[in-house]
Amino acid sequence: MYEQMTSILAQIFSHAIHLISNKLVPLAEAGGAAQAAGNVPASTVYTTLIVLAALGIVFGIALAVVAARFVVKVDPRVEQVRETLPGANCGACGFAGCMGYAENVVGNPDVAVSMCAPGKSAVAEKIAVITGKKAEKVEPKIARVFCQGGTSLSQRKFIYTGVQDCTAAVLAAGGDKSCEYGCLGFGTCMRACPFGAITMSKDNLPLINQDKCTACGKCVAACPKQVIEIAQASKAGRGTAAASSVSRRACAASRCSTFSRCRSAMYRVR
Amino acid sequence: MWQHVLTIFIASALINNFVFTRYLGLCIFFGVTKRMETAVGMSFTFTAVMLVESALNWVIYNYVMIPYHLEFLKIVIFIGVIAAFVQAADTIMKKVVPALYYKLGIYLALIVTNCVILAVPLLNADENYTLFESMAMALGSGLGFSLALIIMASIREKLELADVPKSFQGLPISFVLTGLIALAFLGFSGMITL
Repeated sequence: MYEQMTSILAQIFSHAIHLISNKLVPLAEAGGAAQAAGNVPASTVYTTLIVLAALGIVFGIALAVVAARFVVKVDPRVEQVRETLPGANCGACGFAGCMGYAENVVGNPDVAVSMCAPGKSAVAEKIAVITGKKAEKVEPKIARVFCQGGTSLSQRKFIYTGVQDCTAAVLAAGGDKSCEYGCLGFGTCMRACPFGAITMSKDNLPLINQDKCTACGKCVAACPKQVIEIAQASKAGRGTAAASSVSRRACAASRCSTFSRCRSAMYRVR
Repeated sequence: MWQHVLTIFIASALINNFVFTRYLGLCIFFGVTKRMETAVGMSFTFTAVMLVESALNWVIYNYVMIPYHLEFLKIVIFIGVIAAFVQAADTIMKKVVPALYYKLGIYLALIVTNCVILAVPLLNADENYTLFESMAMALGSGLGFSLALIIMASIREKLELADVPKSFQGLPISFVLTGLIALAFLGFSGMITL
């Protein structure tokens, strides 16, 4: 049954194409093509085209009437806000995608303009202009690295020659560093960063580029040792020196158990 | 006649259940049954759309397509009718009942090209059902589909807590479950003979 249908449809299409190519010359005179098309009467072609066109027009008009009759006014600011947003649909704002945040920030007076993490303060200010809300000072966030015990300071438990990746290295007895908690330095976070904000220092520690970092948290999730966290940008650099001094004293020890001290050195300055 | 209508209703809901017997609409079936809330929303939307579009398509089939001998255009025209109706319903609902729109609107968009929605008018046309029979078929199919969705959603919510082997977690165990429920639904076959 379906083969018959498709063959009829194919014939009608070939008729229709022929009709158009001959500038609507009547089908009976079209000659060869009509014979090749076989047994579909010309009237079927016409009724098909007419009925389909009529149905299309009827539905089109009905939809146009419905659209005009039941028009819903959408706040134009929603579209403006959506264009301002980075469009990453990352969900960091807590809404379903950028469109969801745009609708809520325009429609709901309690939703702050500063919730877009990748957009930072520049986007928050633009949204504040569009929505007429007050842009409170956005404290930008940034990733920071706890561990300051690079390869020059720390000792190796063994020589690791496996896949040069932290997630792989951590499977081998927790990695080759004598410090059980520290950064392994294979740059998994660098590869995880979608913004190219992480580079590895000479000492095999990740360096965060504060201008490029958007605090998306991908590196935090990628690090098997949890030595990266998202912090307020103003505090990102602080404590590093203190942690370095702890590292200088402790990382060289054959068995370090002072990571809590590295961490508290970072926290103390907050 | 009413007995016949009732028979069609029960047959399409249980014996020829779209998911478990005809194996149609499986993408939506697996897609929305992760949570009970979405399953119930989809069930309502599905049943309502089916009921209306089967009536619409019956009218067009019997008063436009048969007189002009255009039965072979069933698929094309039915899909067009469904798309137009769903689009119109979407627009009207957004204006008249926004609350319902925000609850069910996302499902409407999924429905347009769904195979179950298209299968109902196609089967109605093949069987030459009357208007009431068509609508009984649509209501039965809609409720049968709802039954399938709700059974699956409640099992999958329980499954969240079950200790499933790792390689079976998620979709694989759902496939296994669907097969088992389909086996159970085979028990309905032969319950009513038309």
